[in-house]
Amino acid sequence: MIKKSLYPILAIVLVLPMIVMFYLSLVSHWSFPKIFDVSISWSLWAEMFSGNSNILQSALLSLFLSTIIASTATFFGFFVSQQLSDRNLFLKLSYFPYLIAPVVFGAMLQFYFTLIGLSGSVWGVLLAQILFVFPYSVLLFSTFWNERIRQTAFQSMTLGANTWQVFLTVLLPMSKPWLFLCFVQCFLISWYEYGITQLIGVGKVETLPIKTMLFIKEANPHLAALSACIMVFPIVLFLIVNRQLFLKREIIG
Amino acid sequence: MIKVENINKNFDGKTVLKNVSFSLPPNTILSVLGKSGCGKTTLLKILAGLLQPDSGVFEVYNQNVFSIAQQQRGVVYLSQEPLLFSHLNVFENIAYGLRIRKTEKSIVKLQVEELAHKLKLQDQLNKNTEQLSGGQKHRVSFGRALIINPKIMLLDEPFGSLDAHTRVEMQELFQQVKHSVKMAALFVTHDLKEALLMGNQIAVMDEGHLLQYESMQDFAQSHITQIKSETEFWKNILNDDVSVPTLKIKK
Repeated sequence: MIKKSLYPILAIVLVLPMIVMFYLSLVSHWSFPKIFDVSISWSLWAEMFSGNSNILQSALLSLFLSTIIASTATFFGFFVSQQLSDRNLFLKLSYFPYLIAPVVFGAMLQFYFTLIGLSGSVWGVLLAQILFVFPYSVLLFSTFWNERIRQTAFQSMTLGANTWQVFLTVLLPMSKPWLFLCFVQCFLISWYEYGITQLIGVGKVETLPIKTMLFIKEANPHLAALSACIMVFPIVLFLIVNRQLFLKREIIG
Repeated sequence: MIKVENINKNFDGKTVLKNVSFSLPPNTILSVLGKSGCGKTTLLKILAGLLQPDSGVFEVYNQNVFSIAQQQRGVVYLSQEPLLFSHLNVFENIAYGLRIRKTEKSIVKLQVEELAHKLKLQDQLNKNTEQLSGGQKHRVSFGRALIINPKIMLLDEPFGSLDAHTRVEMQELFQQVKHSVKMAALFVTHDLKEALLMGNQIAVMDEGHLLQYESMQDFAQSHITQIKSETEFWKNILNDDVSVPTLKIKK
């Protein structure tokens, strides 16, 4: 157990990099060896929202890709996992993409994607990321489809529910926490994905991580910090939503 | 009349049920007594539709139940675990069977409250299932099954996971309920006393065979149950007329 007195230190360690990042996005003329630059302005943020820096476009592209990928992987993962729940071999095969580095996985796909003309396109990146994220969804849902859930579903059938009613009134409500967790995890995997996007997108598909890395390569810490601030945003949002859900449950309880 | 004839079941070449047959008049509870692994649960799962038999007949009022879909059989299976719907409160758990039949709201309310009173759950209706004790969860599970007036209830060691005190409470409650609710049931247990208390009739299952007794007296006289020798033993103990066996250790 972590002692309560350590909480502030832990909070500082976790929050400090974000504060520094946010600070860097507000000071556009900071240079070493100055520690602090007092000329704080929202100019980079304003520029981003006016659409001049392309960060907003990259963020929207990442949002589009991650939402589609997370929704697809969650939806199909739920049903495929049910079918594979008693087939251990297929479940074990789902670990395959995670046994190798994403870059290697991307390199393996690149050949086939070039052949079918998907290399360098948004749809190519979308498909490649789905192939990478989908097994994760299957693995996550395999913990949901346990004997207890099967017995509960059977119980509702003996009480008179048909297959559709069992799904709507039992399985779907009971799986809500898993569905939410799976969506969030898949979304974040896709949101932060760099290696596969770089290889399949061949630099033409500029998602937010690709854009951030470009700014870092250009030695532009302020735009890189701004881009990174946008990257952190979904995590903060999911944490708030999750906290609200827990609070709601506690109130109901 | 409920009739089960020559049900057979094999798993990977191993025979689990061998020509299992019995009959049950309406509103009768048959206690099935047997050791773990003797095939009791397999029999219940077959009757409930969770497993397919290799052969056999299961008729309820001359209707072949095996040809009917699980949800239309009117056969409710209750396992050792109450398996409540954790996303629903106690009221909605009990009302589940009526809700999916789209019963009118006022009737649902009336029936749930009436049954909850019988099961001493009237003060728990708005609670979440996580807030209930083990015994209360089992009562909700009973209520959820009873509310749809099933033709048969299959009870697979329903009190097996409860502590001794709660188990006695549940046995008493079950006895009260069985007098007020008309139902036929198979009550599977490995506890001799529980089998005698819960059922109107009794059967013993051993290595896939089921032997149904004509009367409780026949059951008590049977050498399989060893009730007679047990009774003699305790009588002798009480009369202080027993020679305690001694161990002879070979040197």
